[in-house]
Amino acid sequence: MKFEIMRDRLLDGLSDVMKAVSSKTAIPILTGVKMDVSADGISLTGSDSDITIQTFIPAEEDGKEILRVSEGGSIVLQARVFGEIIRKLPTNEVEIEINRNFQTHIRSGKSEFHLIGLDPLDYPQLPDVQEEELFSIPADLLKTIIRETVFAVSTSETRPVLTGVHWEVKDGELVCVATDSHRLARRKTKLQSLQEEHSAVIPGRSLNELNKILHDSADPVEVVMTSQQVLFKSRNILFFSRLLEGNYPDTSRLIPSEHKTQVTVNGRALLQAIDRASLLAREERNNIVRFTTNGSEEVEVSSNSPEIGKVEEQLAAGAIEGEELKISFSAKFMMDALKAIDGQDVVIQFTGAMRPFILRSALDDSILQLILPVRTY
Amino acid sequence: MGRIRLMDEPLSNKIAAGEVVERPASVVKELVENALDAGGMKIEVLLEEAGLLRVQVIDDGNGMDSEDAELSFARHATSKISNEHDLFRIRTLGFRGEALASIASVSKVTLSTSDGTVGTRIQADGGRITGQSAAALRKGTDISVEQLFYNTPARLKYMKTLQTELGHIIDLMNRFALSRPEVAFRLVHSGKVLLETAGSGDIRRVLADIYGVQTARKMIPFEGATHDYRVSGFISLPEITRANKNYVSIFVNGRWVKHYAAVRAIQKAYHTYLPIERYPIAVIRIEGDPYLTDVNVHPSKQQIRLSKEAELLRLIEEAVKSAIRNAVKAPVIEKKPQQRQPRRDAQLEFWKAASSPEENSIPVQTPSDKPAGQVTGEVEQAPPSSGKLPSVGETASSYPEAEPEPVGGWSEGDTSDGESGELREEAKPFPELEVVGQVHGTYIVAQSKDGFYLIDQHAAQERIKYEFYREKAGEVDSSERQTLLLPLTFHYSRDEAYRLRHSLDLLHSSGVFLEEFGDTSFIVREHPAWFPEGAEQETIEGLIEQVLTDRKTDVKKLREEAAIMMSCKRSIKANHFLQKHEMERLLADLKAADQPYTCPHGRPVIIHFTSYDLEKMFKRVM
Ligand SMILES: Nc1ncnc2c1ncn2[C@@H]1O[C@H](COP(=O)(O)OP(=O)(O)O)[C@@H](O)[C@H]1O
Ligand SMILES: [Mg+2]
Repeated sequence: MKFEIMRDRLLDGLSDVMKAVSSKTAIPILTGVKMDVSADGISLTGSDSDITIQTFIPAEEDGKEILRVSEGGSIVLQARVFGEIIRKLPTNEVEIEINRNFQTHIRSGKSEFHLIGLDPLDYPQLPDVQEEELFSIPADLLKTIIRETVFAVSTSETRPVLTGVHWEVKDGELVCVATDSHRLARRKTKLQSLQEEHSAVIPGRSLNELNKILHDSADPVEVVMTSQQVLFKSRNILFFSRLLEGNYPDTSRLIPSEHKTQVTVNGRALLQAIDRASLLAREERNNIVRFTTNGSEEVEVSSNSPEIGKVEEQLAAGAIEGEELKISFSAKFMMDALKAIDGQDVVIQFTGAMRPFILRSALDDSILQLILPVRTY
Repeated sequence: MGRIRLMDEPLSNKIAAGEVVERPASVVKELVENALDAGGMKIEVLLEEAGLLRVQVIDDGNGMDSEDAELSFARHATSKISNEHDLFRIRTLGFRGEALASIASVSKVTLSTSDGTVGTRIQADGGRITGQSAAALRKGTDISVEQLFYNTPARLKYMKTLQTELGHIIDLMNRFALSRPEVAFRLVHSGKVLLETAGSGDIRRVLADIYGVQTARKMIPFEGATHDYRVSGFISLPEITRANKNYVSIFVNGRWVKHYAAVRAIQKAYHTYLPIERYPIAVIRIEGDPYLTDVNVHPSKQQIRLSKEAELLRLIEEAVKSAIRNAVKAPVIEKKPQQRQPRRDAQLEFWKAASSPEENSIPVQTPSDKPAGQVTGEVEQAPPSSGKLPSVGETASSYPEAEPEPVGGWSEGDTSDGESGELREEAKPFPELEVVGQVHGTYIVAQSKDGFYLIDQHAAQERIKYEFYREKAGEVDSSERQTLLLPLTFHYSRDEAYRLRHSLDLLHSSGVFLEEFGDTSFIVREHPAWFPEGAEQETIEGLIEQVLTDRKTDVKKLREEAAIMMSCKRSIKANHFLQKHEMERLLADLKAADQPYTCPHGRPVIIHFTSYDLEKMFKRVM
């Protein structure tokens, strides 16, 4: 096997697949990246057996030659070392040649590296995902959906299914829900030409990695699901993730449909007020802040830590309807929710100091954030 | 002159009863063993007042004829062995022939039994038979033991609370059920069913009946054999641990025994998978020729002498080890159904080019594949308690007096230790330390005028956090409670659940409101807001275990326990590289601590190498 390639392109591809490579793996060969070279291009594969990423570098793109292959073949190279070598090579052209016994030579300018490769036949095969695509979605929208939900997944392994985001495709709509039981994030997205019904729980970590790899563009990403795997296909990337087993709890019945108090307030202003108030709330108490309605046009955000001090801040509200309210909650959960709704005017609906409350954008219905309050007596 | 007299039978039985019948649970044990020896497949145990008022055991075994029924009350009356030789071939649970006699001597017994041809009913009071008549012909035995210890008030005084006594009985019945999964057991206390097994022969089902389905699902089978022994059973995945070894049940030829060395073998098999001072749930069944397993050690028949013990222990360790290793590491390979043809599009061409001809696909791991305990396990083992420096072992051992020592109060406990002859004032102020660097992302190296110091960063931070949380937990302010969308659920065995139900108040006082949810489950709808995010479940489990393990625990202890857990969770682990200012901050906080020299687990935080120590090590002074 022998080929020449533009260093930058190889480096881009490597840094994508490296996101799936972990140095702590029970399966030694997975510390490597697999490289398959053919006349059409190179595909690179990295995996930690939960996530598998494969990128493809075409031999030619927009009439420009990226790669010249003298002889095809496959090899597995230690990901960390290989990545570092490529990054530090002196020129932008790299020649890679593999002899027998997986001896690998990497040449660039006047430098030459010899690396010992591993047998590609030992590398596990890609997960078997041959189903038809379920739907396709623009990359930037997919990234938004991930950003608006994934932060709410649980970090505790005691209920593994909650460490993932529940994706449910039904009635032409994709509903994504994440909850750690302290708060819940739900995002609905209309999809076109969608008949099938499907539901799966995708690990939060996988979605975070996917979000890092995808570019902010309107390029379509195809989504394929089996009972154990989900595959995201974009132009030159295949991203596989294991799905979480277990039944995701039915959260729809937990979201209140009525309310007793409704506050409309500017999201950004509230976010900043909470952020200030949390300065005096201690981390060890999970940053509890208090939120009080004040007549029909003002809310008060306050926090009080006997050992540090206290803070109060009045905030003009667009509208306050219904009963008066005093409620306490974690500043962190509130800020996460407000960030997901992203600056717009927010409608907050309460059903009393001890009941979950919900936040929505005043403009559209697609995002819902729910927060569980803190009891203070 | 004629003062020595043979005791009359009831008296000598009463004395023997002291050894055999310690508490209601011993009565249950002997009666159920008899029922099993008689071939009973359905055994029911009915209790009143934790067995002190009445223990009734009903079996469907072989029963007795009239003559045997009467004889069974006599001391050393047994149908199970007839000569010395038999003693080495015991296959039955009973063999001493003294249980019924002993029990009868301290209670009022009614025995109804039938071998299918005659039915006999015998009543006895304090060991003396008071009535005998015909009874129904239902094959099997029904024996009631009433008013236990009514004639030995001293013994009665020793009884613990009914709860404790009942706890012992439930525990015992659980072991019987595990030892004989093919027998259907039922335990009823004042009309309430405390245990019921189906007798299906499936240990996993028994485990589910006892510990709940959730836990049973996380038990994995193991087995192994040598020429002499066969071992098999179930062990819990490393994620499930308990604070004491009570959950390890060892059965030798169907008899529940206590065997400390076997417990240790199991612990060794888990090795780093098990956090320090934690035990698994395990059922270990050992089978071997009765000739090798001598149970005639103590009247309680709970101790056992095993021949070829070393070989057996090795067998257990290996069998358990390989089961764990398989369960924890083995990736589940996805089967690849090759029927469907790949679609032909550009994407797939690239996919095909990429795939290797091998048939195996990327393995899929379940979340439990990453043993979370591993990292902490290493951390906990890290600090050498002796303070010895392994890397300079030779030099140090030829100059034992030059060994560095933990600083401060840590060596308090062994003041008698002659070796620490050097002067070390107890109340020495914490030294002014200057950070030099960090070793292995685990220890901080610091110096002062009088030598250099190694500080275990995890232990240091644990100490600091511990003092913080101890105060926090002490403030009655568990009133700020985060509510939950989905309640947390907790599953316990029946006896644990039973005890827990009596300790709910105690848990309330630390802000944990456990609600009963079915027979053996509990839920929590809110938790104190200061519990660390993501560790709520473990924190509550830790508190519950404290309550279950230490029967005398109180609010103060509970809070201390919570503080220890908190400090451990929130502390930086080993293998974590710190910036210089982070290290300085840590040392400053440590200096401010009440007891900076030990971590809450009692291990040293800081070890001092005096300038003199160093000089000695390098033979600059002699
Ligand atoms: N439930 C029972 N069914 C049939 N026989 C019984 C039962 N309980 C006791 N026996 C008989 O009574 C004898 C004495 O019982 P015990 O005092 O417990 O001594 P051991 O069990 O050591 O023989 C037994 O050997 C057995 O023959
Ligand atoms: Mg007996």
